[in-house]
Amino acid sequence: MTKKLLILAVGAVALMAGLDLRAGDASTSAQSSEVAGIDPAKLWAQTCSQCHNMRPVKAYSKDEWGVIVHHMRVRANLTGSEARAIAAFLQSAEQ
Amino acid sequence: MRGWQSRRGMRHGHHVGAAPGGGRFSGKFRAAVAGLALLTALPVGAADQQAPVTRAEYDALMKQMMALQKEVADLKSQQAATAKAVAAAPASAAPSPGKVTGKTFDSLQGQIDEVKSITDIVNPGDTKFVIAGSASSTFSTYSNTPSNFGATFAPIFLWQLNDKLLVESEIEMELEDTSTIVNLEYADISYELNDYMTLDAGKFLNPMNIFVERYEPNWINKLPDTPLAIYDGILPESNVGVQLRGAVPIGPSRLKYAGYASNAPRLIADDSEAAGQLQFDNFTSLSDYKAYGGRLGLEVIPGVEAGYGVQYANVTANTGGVGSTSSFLQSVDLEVKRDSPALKGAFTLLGQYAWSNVGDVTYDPNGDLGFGPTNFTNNRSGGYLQLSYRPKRLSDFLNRFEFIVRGDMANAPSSAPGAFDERRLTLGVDYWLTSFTVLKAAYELDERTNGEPNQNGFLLQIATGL
Repeated sequence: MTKKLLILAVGAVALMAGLDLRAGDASTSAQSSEVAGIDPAKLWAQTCSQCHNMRPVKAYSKDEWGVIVHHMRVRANLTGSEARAIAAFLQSAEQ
Repeated sequence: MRGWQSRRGMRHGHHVGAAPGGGRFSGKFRAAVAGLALLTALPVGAADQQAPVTRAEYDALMKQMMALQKEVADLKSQQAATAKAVAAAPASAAPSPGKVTGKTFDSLQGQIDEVKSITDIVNPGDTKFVIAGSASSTFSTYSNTPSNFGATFAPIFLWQLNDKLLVESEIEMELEDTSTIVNLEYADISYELNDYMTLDAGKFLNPMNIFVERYEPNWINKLPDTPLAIYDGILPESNVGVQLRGAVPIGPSRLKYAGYASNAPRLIADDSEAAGQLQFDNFTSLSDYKAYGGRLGLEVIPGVEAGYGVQYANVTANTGGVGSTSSFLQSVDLEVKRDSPALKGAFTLLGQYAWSNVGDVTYDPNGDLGFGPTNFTNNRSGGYLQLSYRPKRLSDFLNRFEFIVRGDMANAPSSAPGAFDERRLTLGVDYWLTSFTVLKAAYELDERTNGEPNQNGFLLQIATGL
């Protein structure tokens, strides 16, 4: 039983990891300004303010925003395309 | 207490190494050509890395590169002419190619090194480092307890090794009695497998303890202290193991998930005040037992999320003479954040209820520890509900205030050693100095039903994200 569950779990992980092809495609269009028709500024406001006040754009440099958004992608369960859209928006905003 | 968001500190790495110099004409020439090829390739590499090289810098480099190319072409002509002259002239009249070309190439090498030093400055490297975190200072006074000042500092270190790989760690330092307590709150390495899945390994925050994972940093937590239940042996704060987590969009909704395997908690069996409680800070896996758990959360629409989490583990104690048993933890949580134009402000509702069951064992079976033998149904529960309102649209003065009310409770079996049953009602007011610095005041009404005196409290705190 445990072995079957383990095989099932590994299969599910492999299946989801296989979605990397789509991730690869998405990463090439990392500068896409919209995710599922949502304005990236709105996406930023919705996702970040759900837990805390939004930090001013000038609080971080462009590179720092990249790291912060990566951190928040993991913590807040953002999808890769959402994280890239938010990072691109913050990095293109006036510093 | 824990914090994250903050700043600062960039490290530049991945410098281009200096081209080696040579003492011979042909060696220097090859080095020059190789250097030029390297310089020619540099703008492309910089673009690949999303390097912030400005147009002006790029143009300046291109200009210098063109000049160097011209200089190389001139040198080639000069070399050809020299060879021709040497061949035509008598041996005694031949110029010393080593002296003439060596000086020229030394000069050229110097210019190449100069250009490379410029490119090294603007090259951001692949590795990026940010320090975030929080800091706070608290004054608290509880009935039947001396008032006290306290302070915490909780830096978070974030290393982004590349677009997929992140190392993060938080170290919390706080004062307690005569000591400074230093805790490694988490330290994990995450790798993005794809857009919807991240693999995370190390000491990570427990995903079913949603308060710890999202709201605990002092500049995010709206009250000066933390709710009951999330630390009282009912839910883990962190686990040491590996987890898979991510999110999948479903129409306008998002399904958030996390699943993990980690060291199992330890069953406390030798403490007369805590026997039967789970010790989650168990960094050594006893009897090879592991914990398996996770959380599923559905963000129905942005700002409205509900979740359910579980953790199962066989547990044992390394002392106390008890055997092994099972433990099962469950939790439901709710997060709602809405703006209300009618009420000219924003509401936030947070709630979590957790309950646990540990299988039957006999504690202190021989009576050696002075509280046994004892056996009890080991069910514990606790939770909190917190509502806050910030009048964002009333006036520039009032929009800095936020008003909070929280009810929380936690209990352990009445027949267990160290039994407790506590309920609190907390009223708080925050004043936001900036979006990440806040002054908090709160009054806590406490009720304990196990014979302990109530501890009403008043707390003041200033907290900031770094």
